[in-house]
Amino acid sequence: MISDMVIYTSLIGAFLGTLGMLLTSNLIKKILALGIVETSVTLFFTAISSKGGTRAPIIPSLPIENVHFADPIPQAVIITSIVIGFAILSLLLTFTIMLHNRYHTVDIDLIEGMLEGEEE
Amino acid sequence: MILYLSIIPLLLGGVSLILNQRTKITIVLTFTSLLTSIVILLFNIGKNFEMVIGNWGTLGISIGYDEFALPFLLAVIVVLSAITLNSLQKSYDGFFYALITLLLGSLNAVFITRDLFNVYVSFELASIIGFILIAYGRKGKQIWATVKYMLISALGFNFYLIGIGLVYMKSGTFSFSALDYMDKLPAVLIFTGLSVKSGLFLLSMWLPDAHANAITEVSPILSGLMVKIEDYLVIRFLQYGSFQWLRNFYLVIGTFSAVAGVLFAMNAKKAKDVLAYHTFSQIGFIIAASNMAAAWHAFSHAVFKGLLFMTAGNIKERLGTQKIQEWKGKINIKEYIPLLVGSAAIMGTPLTSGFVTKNGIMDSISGPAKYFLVVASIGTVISFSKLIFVGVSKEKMKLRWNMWLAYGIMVAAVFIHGIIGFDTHHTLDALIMIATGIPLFFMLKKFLNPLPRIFERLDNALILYLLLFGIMLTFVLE
Amino acid sequence: MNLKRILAISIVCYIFVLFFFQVDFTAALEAQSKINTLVEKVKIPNTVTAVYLRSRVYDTLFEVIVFSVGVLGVTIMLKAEPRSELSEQTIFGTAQVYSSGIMAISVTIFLYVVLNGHISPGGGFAGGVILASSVVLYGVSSSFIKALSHYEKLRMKILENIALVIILSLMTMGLSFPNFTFGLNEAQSYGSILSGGVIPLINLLIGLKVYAGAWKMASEFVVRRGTL
Repeated sequence: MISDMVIYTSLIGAFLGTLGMLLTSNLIKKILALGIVETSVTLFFTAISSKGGTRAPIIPSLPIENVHFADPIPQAVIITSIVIGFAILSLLLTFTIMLHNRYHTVDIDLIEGMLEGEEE
Repeated sequence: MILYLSIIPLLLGGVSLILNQRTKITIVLTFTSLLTSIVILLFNIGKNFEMVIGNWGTLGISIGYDEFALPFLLAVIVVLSAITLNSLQKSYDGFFYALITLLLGSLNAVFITRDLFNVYVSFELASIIGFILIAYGRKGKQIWATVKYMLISALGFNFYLIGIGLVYMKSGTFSFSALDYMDKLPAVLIFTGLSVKSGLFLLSMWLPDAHANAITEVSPILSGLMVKIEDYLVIRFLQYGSFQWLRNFYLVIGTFSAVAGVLFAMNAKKAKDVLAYHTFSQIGFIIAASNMAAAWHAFSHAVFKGLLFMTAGNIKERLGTQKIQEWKGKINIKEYIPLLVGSAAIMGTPLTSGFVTKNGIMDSISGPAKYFLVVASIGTVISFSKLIFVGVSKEKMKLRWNMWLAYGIMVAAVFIHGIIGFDTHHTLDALIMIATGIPLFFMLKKFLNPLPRIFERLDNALILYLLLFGIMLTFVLE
Repeated sequence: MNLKRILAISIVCYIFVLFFFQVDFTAALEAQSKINTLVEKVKIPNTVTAVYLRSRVYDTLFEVIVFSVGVLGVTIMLKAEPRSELSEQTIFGTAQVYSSGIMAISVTIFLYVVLNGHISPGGGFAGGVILASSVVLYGVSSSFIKALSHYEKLRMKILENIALVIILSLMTMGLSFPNFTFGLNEAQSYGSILSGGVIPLINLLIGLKVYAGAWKMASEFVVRRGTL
């Protein structure tokens, strides 16, 4: 069934994003990997709402036909999570710009090395 | 009615976001929202109800109020009033006060909600405000601390979202009541997803950096309120059937966190580092018990840790250093008293709030975990002896009225709570613990050196979090 | 170093393999009854909008505030950072022509998506992002200074603030009086634009707010890091 396939795909996406966050030392790439995880979770919720049916939950005319509509609630709530993800990603990029202005690198190992040497 | 506990601060906070150029108006709005929160809370004390906003049934969002939420709502009001008072006459702009007002609204919202997705939304609003506040000083260390916090917690929250997605798939609703008949997998995902912000050792290793480097007014919020959200949710979720099997795990990880946090704190040399590591330890106490006594310990911890962080921050601002060594003989008596009261409370001295709630926790725990918690308590005494024996200077210092009031609120909260709940049957134990801790401090003093901070690097913190996550998932398999 | 990587890979693989074999698909969700209730109570065709702006409007209130906090946070945090030179911008003739055209079309699409948000797929957030991305496209490919100036010229800041206040007050009204629908939608037939009552207005305001905020954020980034 299609929604099961989509759930597996979204889990693979989350898997790849998590791996990406761990394996790169570039801050920008870490943020992009986080974006992949967030998008995968969005896809996961879309898949959940298609469990009951795949017809878009828009009723053009009354009375309502008896076809398998998708569930509207997961789709509606995930908009909120997209906006929150958007806010977090933009704040992360802001802080990356500020870090780059101070340390002239986006490599986390170098930044952490410099910070450990720094006294207040 | 209870809904306005979050709506009014959010509305006023939205207005102060717009008026962020006019600092005075935003300060007035912050105090207005604090006052309305107090009034609404007073009207609701003693009630116990659950309702759906706007009669939507399972389609809507349910909110409620009961005795578990009371300590947390009280803590929010006490800590936020004190730090707002403390921040007056410093050079904060209107945006800061707008964030405080919004934080009040979002924290109140977390503590009254009964909806899994609303928890995510309001928790994330609180966290985003926290992220901005940590970096508020715009120093390199603060920015790095907040980036670390954001990356780890954003990853954790995606697991939480997967967890509630599974709950929805099974039950068709986001309401907490769906948690009664869930499998183990969603429970694990929800717990580990949230615990990234809980302040437990190994799960949230970003914490010492963020708490120790943030500015004076922000550390009390982070340590007193932000980490309490997850404690509240742990205690709340334990009321539902599918979380019961996690109770033993809470006991183990809480005890471990209590001991490990104390070990790091004993060795730390900087005042705010000591306090930050103690957050690990005190949160460990709360999570280990996870009952009504723990909820009240969360309140008393929010107050005394807020007091300690605020005092330490003010001293640091005045002296320009946070090494306890260099504080020797320079602390004024007016700063020393709040420091002493806070330390006494965290050690569990009789007549303070820490004594009452710590005993409640000790009574509810049985078995070997109790001995570890006693060790952690003695360790707390050892590490706070550093702050108690700093030596007071004779110099005169003028304390502004707002700081008087800020210290006064918190000190009064510590003593009122301590005197109302006072009970003689553990007094001797507490005094023995303090009497063994202080000599031990003078014996061990020479051997205490800061432990390496290798676990707090971003990659290591992420790996540790995922490692614990993997271990948790192993329990899902039968 | 290498050991850490191997450890990381093996932990993540372990976690997700467990996920794969533990996720339970036995759920059978019936959306029909939910859709019936939503259509009956809100009387608009798009049930996702009905959930988003009526039954779970409390979440949406938080979302609007998160977005505003994010925008202001980005603006205020970057205030003290040095700016880069904007005067030298490489411009290609074709890109200039096309991006102006896309901008003109996107204003229409914005209005369509926003005002039809309760009838067809769409809504405030989607509309705002469409408009903001086309303006950003125009800015980076044609003339960033010109794109920057429209924010001042149209007084977007005031518009954005008014939009925020009205959105918050309308949502609070909706939360306080759930049965109060402003009397706009009673005489209209099912499926027309005005039948949404206050919903198209909220969508329009959210659209404006999101557009202004997203453009503000993007322009702050471009001003700090420079154009092409």
